[in-house]
Amino acid sequence: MLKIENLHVAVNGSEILRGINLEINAGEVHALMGPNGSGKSTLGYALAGREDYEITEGSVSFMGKDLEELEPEERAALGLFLAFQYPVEIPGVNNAYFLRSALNAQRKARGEEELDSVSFLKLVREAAAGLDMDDSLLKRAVNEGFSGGEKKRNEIVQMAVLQPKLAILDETDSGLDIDALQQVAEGVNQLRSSDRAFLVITHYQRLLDHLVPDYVHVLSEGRIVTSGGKDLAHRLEEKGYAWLREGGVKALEAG
Amino acid sequence: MSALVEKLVGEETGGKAEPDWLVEARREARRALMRDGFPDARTEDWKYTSLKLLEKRSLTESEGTEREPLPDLPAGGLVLDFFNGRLQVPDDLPAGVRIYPLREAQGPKGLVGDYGGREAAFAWLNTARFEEGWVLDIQRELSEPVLLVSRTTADFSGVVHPRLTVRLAPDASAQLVEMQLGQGSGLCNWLTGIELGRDSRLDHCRLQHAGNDSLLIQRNDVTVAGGGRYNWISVDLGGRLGRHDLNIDLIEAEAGCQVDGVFVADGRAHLDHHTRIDHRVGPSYSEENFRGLLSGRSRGVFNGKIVVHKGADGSASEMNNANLLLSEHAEIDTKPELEIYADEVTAAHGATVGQLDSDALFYLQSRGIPASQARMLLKQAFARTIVEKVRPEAFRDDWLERLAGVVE
Ligand SMILES: Nc1ncnc2c1ncn2[C@@H]1O[C@H](COP(=O)(O)OP(=O)(O)OP(=O)(O)O)[C@@H](O)[C@H]1O
Ligand SMILES: [Mg+2]
Repeated sequence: MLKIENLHVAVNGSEILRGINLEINAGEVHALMGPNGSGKSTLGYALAGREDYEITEGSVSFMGKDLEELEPEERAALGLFLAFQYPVEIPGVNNAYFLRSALNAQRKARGEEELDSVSFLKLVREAAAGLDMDDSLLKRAVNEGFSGGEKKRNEIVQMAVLQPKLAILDETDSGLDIDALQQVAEGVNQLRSSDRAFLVITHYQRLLDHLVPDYVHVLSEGRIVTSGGKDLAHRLEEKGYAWLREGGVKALEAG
Repeated sequence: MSALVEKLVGEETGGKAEPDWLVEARREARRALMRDGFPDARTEDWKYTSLKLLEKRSLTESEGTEREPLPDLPAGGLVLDFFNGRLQVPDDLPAGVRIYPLREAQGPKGLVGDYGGREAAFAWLNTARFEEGWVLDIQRELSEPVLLVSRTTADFSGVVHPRLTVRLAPDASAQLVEMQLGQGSGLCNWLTGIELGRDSRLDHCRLQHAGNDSLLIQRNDVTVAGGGRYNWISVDLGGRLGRHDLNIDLIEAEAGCQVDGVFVADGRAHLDHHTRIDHRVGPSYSEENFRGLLSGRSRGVFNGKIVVHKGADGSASEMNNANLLLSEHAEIDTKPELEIYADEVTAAHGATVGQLDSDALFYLQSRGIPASQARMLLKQAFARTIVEKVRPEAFRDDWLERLAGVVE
């Protein structure tokens, strides 16, 4: 589904990602961990197609298409979704209206019929209820004045409505209370299917307890320095990232 | 005598029988115009707004075209229909409302002012030339809104000087919905006076959705007595040349006003808003929030002045002006001014000029919304936050729809 080969990305002229190789197949859940500033969000943004995130070397293909050729909205219509680490506030744009415009724009791009407002409302209410998100948030402006946790839930509501093929969740667990964490995990698990995949960026084991990743990768200074099964996340939780400076992966395994 | 004075002021007209005070007021207006003339590039308050268009256009005296039926309005109310500058006096007036010609008033007090020098030339011009001025007296709380519709026809190429003074008695309250829908290439030179008695309240919503050729110069002088409240929301969506002067005088303690405005300028539109709020006695309150959205080759001007006079202690005042400049050929000149001569005043003001928020744009696109649609959504959103405050709701919805039609 997603194939990243030797990906180098520069932001404002400075190279942040320095040769990433990663393949994600349908049905898989991958966790991406790593210290602050290692480039996790940069990878998410680069995949979603943010301006100024320039691919200087390597390639990315998604659903058989070269991502570099596509606008962000085209990537979304293909089934790529990024839950932002810091969801953006958009005063004056109604949350429900925004989500309906998004869904219908995607459907239109895929040659599907647009959804009328009644069916849409039903869909979004269900999604919101599943995440215990108050209906009133749908009537407000996108993320404006939302609490940290409400913003994260709103991201997951969008994911549930848009039903992407590949969802990248960038620290969606940060700032969530314990119940919300469980609901978000449930939301993801409900979407899990043999034709979908997830890339979950996180600092903590907690979310992974609920999601159980197939693979865990550690990103450091723009490269994936080690990958493993779900146990790798446990070891990181115990040991932190000091081993990165003290002899690399061997030190982690020895300890 | 300048060409503009010759063209616009013209000869003294002996028309209707008018009382001496009005004859004298008109003469005084002529004297002021002959003495000071019209503003030019050296007139501080007009330095960004040139009158070249007024010089270029012929602006013949207006012919009285036959009155056309009133366009459908989003909701009912007491309609004041100014057609090519002339008011159709409504037949049925609600209890507590009176409307009469200015010349029937006892004297000039509160109806004609000392407007100032050449920067006030259009107020003098209106005084010298208005055909019939009107006074609207509101004695109580009105349940239905007053709907002021000002329209000119597509073949209108002259000059008209509509004039209206609205007076609210103590404790009265009303909604005033003003719609400037001028067509044609002529000039509408409006003068409005608003007088709020003690503890009265006026919610005044103004729409300017005039044609691409229309010239509109407006001045609105407001005085607010103690405990009174004046709220003004202004939405500009059209016009070729628009100049609006809003002067609010908070003359007693506990008087307050809220000023919200947005202008959407595209093509060759030139929209100029000057607002001035005087806090004469403290504590008095004002809050102002003005936005400009400029595309094409349009030009916007915002000049917001707040003066907290000596003795207006304990007053609070806030002013904010935000602009989006969406084309390299568009231009905005913004100048918030704050003068404080009193103590214990809380005041803040600021102005920004920016582009569409690229983070927001990316967020929308990342959800599948095409860039062009995302841009349109953000532009509309910027203006919506002001238009959404408009009441009654039927007008809010109508104006939101008009906004959506203008911002593509
Ligand atoms: N616009 C930018 N201009 C310059 N440097 C940037 C820009 N955006 C990100 N960076 C830098 O790129 C590096 C990687 O940032 P990124 O946000 O991807 O880290 P992260 O792994 O997501 O960290 P965290 O765990 O704190 O979220 C950081 O050093 C950051 O300062
Ligand atoms: Mg990050």
